[in-house]
Amino acid sequence: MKKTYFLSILCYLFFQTSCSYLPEEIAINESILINENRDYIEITPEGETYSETALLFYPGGLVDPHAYIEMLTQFATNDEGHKVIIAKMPANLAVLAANKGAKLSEEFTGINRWIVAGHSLGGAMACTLVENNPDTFDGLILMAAYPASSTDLTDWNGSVLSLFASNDNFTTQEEIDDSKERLPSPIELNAIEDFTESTQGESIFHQIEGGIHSYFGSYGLQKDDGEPTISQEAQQAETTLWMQRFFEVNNW
Amino acid sequence: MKNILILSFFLTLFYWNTNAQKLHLETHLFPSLAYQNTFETGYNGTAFAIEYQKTLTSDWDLLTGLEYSFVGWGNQGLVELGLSRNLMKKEKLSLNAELTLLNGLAWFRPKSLYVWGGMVGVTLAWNVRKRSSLTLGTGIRYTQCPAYKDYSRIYSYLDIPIHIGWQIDLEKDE
Repeated sequence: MKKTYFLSILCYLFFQTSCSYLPEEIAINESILINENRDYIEITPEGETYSETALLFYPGGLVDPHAYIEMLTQFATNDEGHKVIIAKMPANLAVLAANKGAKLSEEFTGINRWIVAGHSLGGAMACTLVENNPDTFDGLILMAAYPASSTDLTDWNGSVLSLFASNDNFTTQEEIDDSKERLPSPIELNAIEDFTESTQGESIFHQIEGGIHSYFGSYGLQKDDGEPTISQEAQQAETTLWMQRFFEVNNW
Repeated sequence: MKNILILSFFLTLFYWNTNAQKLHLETHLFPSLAYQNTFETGYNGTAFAIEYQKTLTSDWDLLTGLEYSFVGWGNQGLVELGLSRNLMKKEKLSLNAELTLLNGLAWFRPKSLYVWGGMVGVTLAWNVRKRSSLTLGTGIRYTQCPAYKDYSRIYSYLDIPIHIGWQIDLEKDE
């Protein structure tokens, strides 16, 4: 009997730790070009021309990659327009394919510069990707994420934007502060008006007041996360605004 | 569809409690041929399965099992229910054809999604010890997660599975 109980508990824990968060149901806007294959989701801005700088995105651990389409579509359809590639990960865990982005970056013609971004575990693995391929990527955007203790990007000459939320129970202020010693020269910015110069060889840190961990994507509330005091739309609008400024100041 | 899933689950339990003849522990690799209506080769995922095989007649066996896999839409648990027919048996080698139905759930929050599928293939068993064999199999497998179409444009896959495993004969010596 003890064995049966033990096996049942083991199965339950395995099931609980293997469930991915589904995106909130979204109506895919047919006017935006969203292509999808077994390896990635490709968001292409409307119009015939768009920037030669593209964004590669790593989803958070056990979060369905479609949960980021809504926010990244807002980013892709900014003034200049940027192609966005959301990588699909085995078992929805970027840790199982941290270097997938290096292969994906070689697949697209017309793109001559890549910026990699990631949420949570996806952000940590984006740091690993950059550490392993420092010349392939010019910029790194972290959303509620930081490099693993074994990853050191202090000497990397690219640009880093680290966005984190004040009410996030999974990625805390303390962890973000600790990560500063593993990233290029850290600079804290509160107001977007102060974000005016190229950030090559620098890391810009910005806290989103009232935000939480799960609002960087569109998959509802995450168990054990903090209480938000802003809406998901507001957090995503602030996120995309800072991402767009990050691209503008670096002339991407 | 949920009824089929429940029925498959109880059939599996039933046969686990009877005198099963063979136990398989297998790893399934899923090189893939196509998704939706698009033929594009790639790799769809990996599975770990435990299967019981029970003799029905001299040539036919009933096959039941449980599979954990991670594929295009994420992690899933499936119940296998199928038939196996012996095609060839020599001193240390045997070849079986298998037809398996798959029912289960793709593991998501806040709700898991129903998955169904089917697989046909052949398995070669090489008897390496008195009651155990190495197995190698292949075939063709179709799976679909119908409700996932609300989230993704890809909700079905056609794969060429490769099975590598260990088969233990549980039948008592006569």
